[in-house]
Amino acid sequence: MLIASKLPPERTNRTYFHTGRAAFSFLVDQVVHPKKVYLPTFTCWSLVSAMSRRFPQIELDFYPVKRDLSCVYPERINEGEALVFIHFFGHENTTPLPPCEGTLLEDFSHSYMSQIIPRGHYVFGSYRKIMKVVDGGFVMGFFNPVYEPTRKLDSWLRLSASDWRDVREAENMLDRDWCISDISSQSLEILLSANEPQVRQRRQKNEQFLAHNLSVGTPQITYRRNECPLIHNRLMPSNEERDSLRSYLSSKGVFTSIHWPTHELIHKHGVMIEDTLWIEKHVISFPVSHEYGTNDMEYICKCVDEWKQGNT
Amino acid sequence: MMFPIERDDEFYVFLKSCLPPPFRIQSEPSPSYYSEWMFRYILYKGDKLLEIYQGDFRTIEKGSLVREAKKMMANILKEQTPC
Repeated sequence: MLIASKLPPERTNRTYFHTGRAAFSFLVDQVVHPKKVYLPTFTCWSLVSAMSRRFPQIELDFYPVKRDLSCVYPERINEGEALVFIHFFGHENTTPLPPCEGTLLEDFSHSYMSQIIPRGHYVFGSYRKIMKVVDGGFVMGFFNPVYEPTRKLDSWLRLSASDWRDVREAENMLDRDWCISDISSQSLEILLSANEPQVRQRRQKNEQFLAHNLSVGTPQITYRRNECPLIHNRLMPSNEERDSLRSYLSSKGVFTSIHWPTHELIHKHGVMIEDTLWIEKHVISFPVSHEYGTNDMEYICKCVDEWKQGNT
Repeated sequence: MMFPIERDDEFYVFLKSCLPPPFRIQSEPSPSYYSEWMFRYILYKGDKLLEIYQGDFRTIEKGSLVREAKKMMANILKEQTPC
Protein backbone atom coordinates (compact mmCIF):
# COMPACT_ATOMS: atom_id res chain seq x y z
CA MET A 1 0.00 0.00 0.00
CA LEU A 2 1.12 3.54 -0.76
CA ILE A 3 -0.41 6.57 0.92
CA ALA A 4 0.74 9.99 -0.22
CA SER A 5 -0.57 13.41 -1.18
CA LYS A 6 1.09 13.41 -4.61
CA LEU A 7 0.43 10.46 -6.91
CA PRO A 8 0.18 10.12 -10.69
CA PRO A 9 -3.21 11.32 -12.03
CA GLU A 10 -5.92 9.00 -13.27
CA ARG A 11 -5.84 8.00 -16.94
CA THR A 12 -8.89 8.69 -19.06
CA ASN A 13 -10.31 6.26 -21.62
CA ARG A 14 -10.32 8.85 -24.38
CA THR A 15 -7.51 11.04 -25.72
CA TYR A 16 -8.46 14.42 -27.12
CA PHE A 17 -7.11 16.33 -30.10
CA HIS A 18 -7.75 19.59 -31.92
CA THR A 19 -9.26 17.78 -34.92
CA GLY A 20 -10.12 14.34 -36.23
CA ARG A 21 -7.30 14.53 -38.73
CA ALA A 22 -4.90 15.25 -35.86
CA ALA A 23 -6.22 12.17 -34.03
CA PHE A 24 -5.79 10.07 -37.18
CA SER A 25 -2.32 11.46 -37.82
CA PHE A 26 -1.29 10.77 -34.23
CA LEU A 27 -2.24 7.12 -34.68
CA VAL A 28 -0.42 6.82 -38.00
CA ASP A 29 2.65 8.75 -36.91
CA GLN A 30 3.18 7.64 -33.34
CA VAL A 31 1.29 4.38 -32.78
CA VAL A 32 0.76 2.28 -35.91
CA HIS A 33 3.69 3.27 -38.18
CA PRO A 34 2.21 1.65 -41.30
CA LYS A 35 4.06 1.27 -44.58
CA LYS A 36 0.80 1.36 -46.50
CA VAL A 37 -2.66 2.78 -45.75
CA TYR A 38 -5.95 1.86 -47.45
CA LEU A 39 -8.70 4.49 -47.55
CA PRO A 40 -12.19 4.20 -49.09
CA THR A 41 -12.80 5.95 -52.42
CA PHE A 42 -15.91 7.45 -50.85
CA THR A 43 -14.60 9.59 -48.02
CA CYS A 44 -14.20 13.04 -46.58
CA TRP A 45 -11.18 14.68 -48.19
CA SER A 46 -9.56 15.46 -44.83
CA LEU A 47 -8.23 11.89 -44.47
CA VAL A 48 -6.83 11.90 -48.00
CA SER A 49 -5.36 15.31 -47.41
CA ALA A 50 -3.82 14.23 -44.08
CA MET A 51 -2.12 11.29 -45.76
CA SER A 52 -0.84 13.16 -48.79
CA ARG A 53 0.42 16.22 -46.92
CA ARG A 54 1.72 14.69 -43.72
CA PHE A 55 2.77 11.21 -44.80
CA PRO A 56 3.94 11.40 -48.42
CA GLN A 57 6.41 8.60 -47.68
CA ILE A 58 3.61 6.14 -46.80
CA GLU A 59 2.02 4.29 -49.71
CA LEU A 60 -1.62 5.25 -50.10
CA ASP A 61 -4.16 2.97 -51.74
CA PHE A 62 -7.93 3.09 -52.11
CA TYR A 63 -10.67 0.49 -52.04
CA PRO A 64 -13.99 0.93 -53.88
CA VAL A 65 -17.27 1.79 -52.18
CA LYS A 66 -20.51 0.76 -53.90
CA ARG A 67 -23.70 2.77 -54.25
CA ASP A 68 -25.22 1.00 -51.27
CA LEU A 69 -22.12 2.01 -49.24
CA SER A 70 -20.83 -1.54 -48.97
CA CYS A 71 -17.07 -1.76 -49.32
CA VAL A 72 -14.82 -3.82 -51.59
CA TYR A 73 -11.93 -4.28 -49.18
CA PRO A 74 -8.55 -5.69 -50.20
CA GLU A 75 -8.46 -9.50 -49.90
CA ARG A 76 -6.24 -9.27 -46.83
CA ILE A 77 -4.41 -6.67 -44.78
CA ASN A 78 -0.79 -7.68 -44.48
CA GLU A 79 1.65 -6.89 -41.71
CA GLY A 80 2.70 -3.25 -41.92
CA GLU A 81 -0.54 -2.24 -43.63
CA ALA A 82 -3.47 -0.31 -42.18
CA LEU A 83 -7.08 -0.29 -43.36
CA VAL A 84 -9.31 2.68 -42.52
CA PHE A 85 -13.04 1.98 -42.49
CA ILE A 86 -15.92 4.35 -41.84
CA HIS A 87 -19.46 4.03 -40.54
CA PHE A 88 -20.87 6.35 -43.16
CA PHE A 89 -23.15 9.09 -41.80
CA GLY A 90 -23.76 7.24 -38.51
CA HIS A 91 -24.92 3.98 -40.15
CA GLU A 92 -22.97 0.88 -39.14
CA ASN A 93 -20.69 -0.41 -41.85
CA THR A 94 -21.42 -4.14 -41.80
CA THR A 95 -19.25 -5.20 -44.73
CA PRO A 96 -17.20 -8.14 -43.35
CA LEU A 97 -13.62 -7.07 -42.70
CA PRO A 98 -10.82 -8.94 -44.48
CA PRO A 99 -8.31 -11.20 -42.70
CA CYS A 100 -5.83 -8.88 -41.07
CA GLU A 101 -2.22 -9.17 -39.97
CA GLY A 102 -1.92 -5.40 -39.99
CA THR A 103 -4.04 -2.74 -38.32
CA LEU A 104 -7.71 -1.79 -38.60
CA LEU A 105 -8.38 1.90 -38.01
CA GLU A 106 -12.05 2.65 -37.38
CA ASP A 107 -13.29 6.16 -38.14
CA PHE A 108 -16.05 7.03 -35.65
CA SER A 109 -16.46 10.67 -36.73
CA HIS A 110 -20.04 10.05 -37.91
CA SER A 111 -20.92 7.35 -35.45
CA TYR A 112 -19.67 8.15 -31.97
CA MET A 113 -23.29 8.62 -30.88
CA SER A 114 -24.59 5.56 -32.75
CA GLN A 115 -24.04 2.88 -30.11
CA ILE A 116 -21.94 0.75 -32.43
CA ILE A 117 -19.51 -1.80 -30.99
CA PRO A 118 -16.07 -1.04 -32.42
CA ARG A 119 -14.29 -3.72 -34.45
CA GLY A 120 -11.05 -1.90 -35.23
CA HIS A 121 -7.76 -2.07 -33.38
CA TYR A 122 -7.95 1.69 -32.90
CA VAL A 123 -10.93 4.04 -32.99
CA PHE A 124 -10.61 7.71 -33.82
CA GLY A 125 -12.82 10.55 -34.97
CA SER A 126 -13.75 14.20 -35.22
CA TYR A 127 -16.29 15.83 -32.93
CA ARG A 128 -17.18 18.71 -35.22
CA LYS A 129 -19.40 16.69 -37.53
CA ILE A 130 -22.19 16.18 -35.00
CA MET A 131 -21.65 18.69 -32.21
CA LYS A 132 -21.46 22.46 -32.61
CA VAL A 133 -17.92 22.90 -31.30
CA VAL A 134 -15.01 24.94 -32.64
CA ASP A 135 -12.70 21.95 -32.62
CA GLY A 136 -12.32 18.43 -31.32
CA GLY A 137 -11.00 15.03 -32.24
CA PHE A 138 -10.42 11.86 -30.28
CA VAL A 139 -8.74 8.48 -30.10
CA MET A 140 -10.45 5.90 -27.91
CA GLY A 141 -8.21 4.75 -25.09
CA PHE A 142 -5.51 6.42 -23.06
CA PHE A 143 -2.53 7.81 -24.92
CA ASN A 144 -0.17 10.51 -23.82
CA PRO A 145 0.68 12.60 -26.88
CA VAL A 146 3.28 15.33 -26.86
CA TYR A 147 1.14 17.91 -28.61
CA GLU A 148 2.56 20.19 -31.27
CA PRO A 149 2.41 23.95 -30.64
CA THR A 150 -0.29 26.02 -32.35
CA ARG A 151 -2.06 29.34 -31.80
CA LYS A 152 -5.40 27.85 -32.94
CA LEU A 153 -6.33 30.92 -34.93
CA ASP A 154 -9.00 28.91 -36.74
CA SER A 155 -10.72 28.28 -33.39
CA TRP A 156 -10.45 31.97 -32.51
CA LEU A 157 -12.10 32.85 -35.80
CA ARG A 158 -14.94 30.37 -35.33
CA LEU A 159 -15.69 31.84 -31.92
CA SER A 160 -15.61 35.36 -33.42
CA ALA A 161 -17.65 34.42 -36.48
CA SER A 162 -20.69 36.47 -37.32
CA ASP A 163 -21.84 34.37 -40.29
CA TRP A 164 -20.97 31.41 -42.51
CA ARG A 165 -18.18 33.31 -44.28
CA ASP A 166 -15.98 33.40 -41.20
CA VAL A 167 -16.77 29.77 -40.42
CA ARG A 168 -15.77 28.85 -43.97
CA GLU A 169 -12.61 30.93 -43.70
CA ALA A 170 -11.77 29.05 -40.49
CA GLU A 171 -12.33 25.74 -42.31
CA ASN A 172 -9.97 26.91 -45.04
CA MET A 173 -7.34 27.89 -42.47
CA LEU A 174 -7.56 24.44 -40.95
CA ASP A 175 -7.31 22.78 -44.35
CA ARG A 176 -4.20 24.79 -45.19
CA ASP A 177 -2.38 24.21 -41.96
CA TRP A 178 -2.96 21.93 -38.99
CA CYS A 179 -0.95 19.97 -36.49
CA ILE A 180 -1.33 17.32 -33.79
CA SER A 181 -2.54 19.59 -31.01
CA ASP A 182 -4.99 19.46 -28.12
CA ILE A 183 -8.70 20.29 -28.02
CA SER A 184 -9.84 23.69 -26.72
CA SER A 185 -11.38 23.98 -23.26
CA GLN A 186 -14.58 25.49 -24.68
CA SER A 187 -15.17 22.49 -26.91
CA LEU A 188 -14.35 20.01 -24.19
CA GLU A 189 -16.87 21.59 -21.84
CA ILE A 190 -19.61 21.38 -24.48
CA LEU A 191 -18.80 17.75 -25.29
CA LEU A 192 -18.63 16.57 -21.70
CA SER A 193 -21.92 18.24 -20.79
CA ALA A 194 -23.84 17.13 -23.92
CA ASN A 195 -26.96 15.06 -23.40
CA GLU A 196 -26.18 12.25 -25.84
CA PRO A 197 -29.53 10.42 -25.66
CA GLN A 198 -31.35 13.69 -26.33
CA VAL A 199 -29.05 14.54 -29.25
CA ARG A 200 -29.50 11.07 -30.73
CA GLN A 201 -33.29 11.12 -30.33
CA ARG A 202 -33.71 14.56 -31.91
CA ARG A 203 -31.53 13.65 -34.87
CA GLN A 204 -33.39 10.37 -35.34
CA LYS A 205 -36.72 12.21 -35.37
CA ASN A 206 -35.50 14.80 -37.85
CA GLU A 207 -34.02 12.18 -40.14
CA GLN A 208 -37.14 10.03 -40.01
CA PHE A 209 -39.29 13.02 -40.83
CA LEU A 210 -37.27 13.77 -43.96
CA ALA A 211 -37.06 10.09 -44.92
CA HIS A 212 -40.87 9.84 -44.92
CA ASN A 213 -41.93 13.27 -46.09
CA LEU A 214 -39.51 14.51 -48.74
CA SER A 215 -41.39 14.27 -52.03
CA VAL A 216 -38.39 13.74 -54.30
CA GLY A 217 -35.58 11.20 -54.59
CA THR A 218 -34.96 8.16 -52.40
CA PRO A 219 -33.18 7.83 -49.04
CA GLN A 220 -29.62 6.51 -49.40
CA ILE A 221 -29.63 4.94 -45.92
CA THR A 222 -32.20 3.24 -43.71
CA TYR A 223 -30.99 3.86 -40.18
CA ARG A 224 -31.28 1.28 -37.42
CA ARG A 225 -32.86 2.10 -34.06
CA ASN A 226 -29.54 2.48 -32.25
CA GLU A 227 -28.01 4.79 -34.83
CA CYS A 228 -27.62 8.56 -34.67
CA PRO A 229 -27.90 10.10 -38.16
CA LEU A 230 -25.30 12.64 -39.20
CA ILE A 231 -27.37 13.89 -42.14
CA HIS A 232 -30.19 12.72 -44.40
CA ASN A 233 -28.71 11.72 -47.75
CA ARG A 234 -31.15 11.69 -50.64
CA LEU A 235 -30.41 10.26 -54.07
CA MET A 236 -31.89 12.29 -56.92
CA PRO A 237 -32.69 10.84 -60.38
CA SER A 238 -30.20 13.10 -62.16
CA ASN A 239 -27.31 15.44 -61.53
CA GLU A 240 -29.24 18.34 -63.10
CA GLU A 241 -32.23 17.87 -60.79
CA ARG A 242 -29.95 17.60 -57.78
CA ASP A 243 -28.15 20.85 -58.61
CA SER A 244 -31.40 22.63 -59.42
CA LEU A 245 -32.91 21.54 -56.10
CA ARG A 246 -29.83 22.63 -54.15
CA SER A 247 -29.90 26.00 -55.81
CA TYR A 248 -33.61 26.49 -55.11
CA LEU A 249 -33.25 25.46 -51.47
CA SER A 250 -30.31 27.82 -51.04
CA SER A 251 -32.51 30.69 -52.24
CA LYS A 252 -34.97 29.72 -49.51
CA GLY A 253 -32.32 29.69 -46.80
CA VAL A 254 -31.92 25.91 -46.68
CA PHE A 255 -28.28 24.98 -47.16
CA THR A 256 -27.56 21.44 -48.28
CA SER A 257 -24.25 19.81 -49.11
CA ILE A 258 -22.74 17.03 -51.19
CA HIS A 259 -21.19 14.13 -49.29
CA TRP A 260 -18.72 13.92 -50.90
CA PRO A 261 -16.99 15.43 -53.88
CA THR A 262 -14.30 12.93 -54.90
CA HIS A 263 -10.75 13.97 -54.05
CA GLU A 264 -8.43 14.57 -57.01
CA LEU A 265 -5.99 11.92 -55.72
CA ILE A 266 -8.76 9.31 -55.91
CA HIS A 267 -9.53 10.41 -59.48
CA LYS A 268 -5.85 9.98 -60.39
CA HIS A 269 -5.52 6.65 -58.67
CA GLY A 270 -7.58 4.76 -61.20
CA VAL A 271 -9.38 2.30 -58.90
CA MET A 272 -13.03 1.44 -59.53
CA ILE A 273 -14.69 4.73 -58.68
CA GLU A 274 -17.77 4.57 -60.92
CA ASP A 275 -20.15 4.11 -57.98
CA THR A 276 -18.39 6.76 -55.91
CA LEU A 277 -18.74 9.22 -58.79
CA TRP A 278 -22.37 8.21 -59.24
CA ILE A 279 -23.11 9.03 -55.60
CA GLU A 280 -21.29 12.33 -55.93
CA LYS A 281 -23.50 13.28 -58.88
CA HIS A 282 -26.80 12.23 -57.37
CA VAL A 283 -26.62 12.81 -53.63
CA ILE A 284 -27.98 15.78 -51.75
CA SER A 285 -27.30 15.95 -48.01
CA PHE A 286 -29.93 17.54 -45.79
CA PRO A 287 -29.12 18.80 -42.29
CA VAL A 288 -30.81 16.95 -39.41
CA SER A 289 -28.95 18.62 -36.57
CA HIS A 290 -30.39 18.33 -33.08
CA GLU A 291 -30.43 22.14 -33.10
CA TYR A 292 -33.46 21.86 -35.43
CA GLY A 293 -37.01 20.77 -34.66
CA THR A 294 -39.90 19.27 -36.59
CA ASN A 295 -41.02 22.71 -37.79
CA ASP A 296 -37.63 23.15 -39.49
CA MET A 297 -37.97 19.75 -41.17
CA GLU A 298 -41.49 20.72 -42.30
CA TYR A 299 -40.09 23.89 -43.83
CA ILE A 300 -37.48 21.88 -45.75
CA CYS A 301 -40.20 19.54 -47.08
CA LYS A 302 -42.39 22.49 -48.03
CA CYS A 303 -39.53 24.09 -50.00
CA VAL A 304 -38.82 20.78 -51.74
CA ASP A 305 -42.54 20.52 -52.67
CA GLU A 306 -42.40 24.02 -54.17
CA TRP A 307 -39.36 23.09 -56.23
CA LYS A 308 -41.07 19.89 -57.39
CA GLN A 309 -44.21 21.77 -58.47
CA GLY A 310 -42.09 24.24 -60.41
CA ASN A 311 -40.39 21.37 -62.22
CA THR A 312 -43.46 19.36 -63.26
CA MET B 1 -5.91 42.15 -29.08
CA MET B 2 -2.83 42.23 -31.27
CA PHE B 3 -0.69 39.15 -31.82
CA PRO B 4 2.47 39.01 -33.91
CA ILE B 5 1.55 38.05 -37.48
CA GLU B 6 3.98 35.47 -38.82
CA ARG B 7 2.48 34.07 -42.00
CA ASP B 8 0.51 35.37 -44.97
CA ASP B 9 -2.45 33.14 -44.21
CA GLU B 10 -2.86 34.83 -40.81
CA PHE B 11 -3.65 38.12 -42.57
CA TYR B 12 -7.42 37.90 -42.10
CA VAL B 13 -7.48 36.86 -38.45
CA PHE B 14 -4.78 39.39 -37.60
CA LEU B 15 -6.76 42.29 -39.06
CA LYS B 16 -10.12 41.04 -37.86
CA SER B 17 -8.77 40.88 -34.34
CA CYS B 18 -7.04 44.25 -34.21
CA LEU B 19 -8.52 46.74 -36.70
CA PRO B 20 -10.09 49.57 -34.71
CA PRO B 21 -13.54 50.90 -35.74
CA PRO B 22 -14.60 52.22 -38.19
CA PHE B 23 -12.22 49.89 -40.08
CA ARG B 24 -13.21 46.27 -40.60
CA ILE B 25 -12.32 43.38 -42.83
CA GLN B 26 -14.58 40.69 -44.28
CA SER B 27 -13.64 37.39 -45.85
CA GLU B 28 -15.56 36.39 -48.97
CA PRO B 29 -14.51 32.75 -49.37
CA SER B 30 -15.52 30.67 -52.35
CA PRO B 31 -18.35 28.25 -51.51
CA SER B 32 -16.70 25.63 -53.77
CA TYR B 33 -15.09 22.50 -52.41
CA TYR B 34 -11.28 22.31 -52.50
CA SER B 35 -10.85 26.08 -52.60
CA GLU B 36 -8.95 26.45 -49.34
CA TRP B 37 -5.94 28.15 -50.93
CA MET B 38 -7.97 30.92 -52.57
CA PHE B 39 -8.62 34.08 -50.60
CA ARG B 40 -10.67 37.23 -51.03
CA TYR B 41 -10.66 39.80 -48.23
CA ILE B 42 -12.44 43.16 -48.37
CA LEU B 43 -11.35 46.11 -46.26
CA TYR B 44 -13.98 48.67 -45.27
CA LYS B 45 -14.03 51.99 -43.48
CA GLY B 46 -17.60 52.17 -42.24
CA ASP B 47 -19.61 51.17 -45.30
CA LYS B 48 -16.99 52.39 -47.78
CA LEU B 49 -14.96 49.72 -49.56
CA LEU B 50 -11.27 50.64 -49.34
CA GLU B 51 -9.41 47.66 -50.78
CA ILE B 52 -9.86 44.12 -52.04
CA TYR B 53 -7.14 41.55 -51.41
CA GLN B 54 -7.51 38.37 -53.40
CA GLY B 55 -5.33 35.59 -54.73
CA ASP B 56 -3.93 32.16 -54.11
CA PHE B 57 -1.80 31.54 -51.02
CA ARG B 58 0.29 29.07 -53.00
CA THR B 59 1.44 31.61 -55.55
CA ILE B 60 1.58 35.01 -53.84
CA GLU B 61 4.97 36.44 -52.99
CA LYS B 62 5.87 34.99 -49.60
CA GLY B 63 5.56 37.56 -46.82
CA SER B 64 3.67 40.10 -48.92
CA LEU B 65 0.47 39.94 -46.85
CA VAL B 66 2.43 40.00 -43.60
CA ARG B 67 4.13 43.22 -44.72
CA GLU B 68 0.83 44.67 -45.89
CA ALA B 69 -0.89 43.92 -42.57
CA LYS B 70 1.93 45.42 -40.53
CA LYS B 71 2.05 48.53 -42.72
CA MET B 72 -1.71 48.92 -42.51
CA MET B 73 -1.75 48.72 -38.72
CA ALA B 74 1.16 51.12 -38.42
CA ASN B 75 -0.63 53.64 -40.65
CA ILE B 76 -3.88 53.29 -38.77
CA LEU B 77 -2.27 53.73 -35.41
CA LYS B 78 -0.44 56.78 -36.75
CA GLU B 79 -3.03 58.50 -38.91
CA GLN B 80 -6.19 56.41 -39.04
CA THR B 81 -5.62 55.79 -42.77
CA PRO B 82 -4.86 52.17 -43.59
CA CYS B 83 -3.40 52.13 -47.10
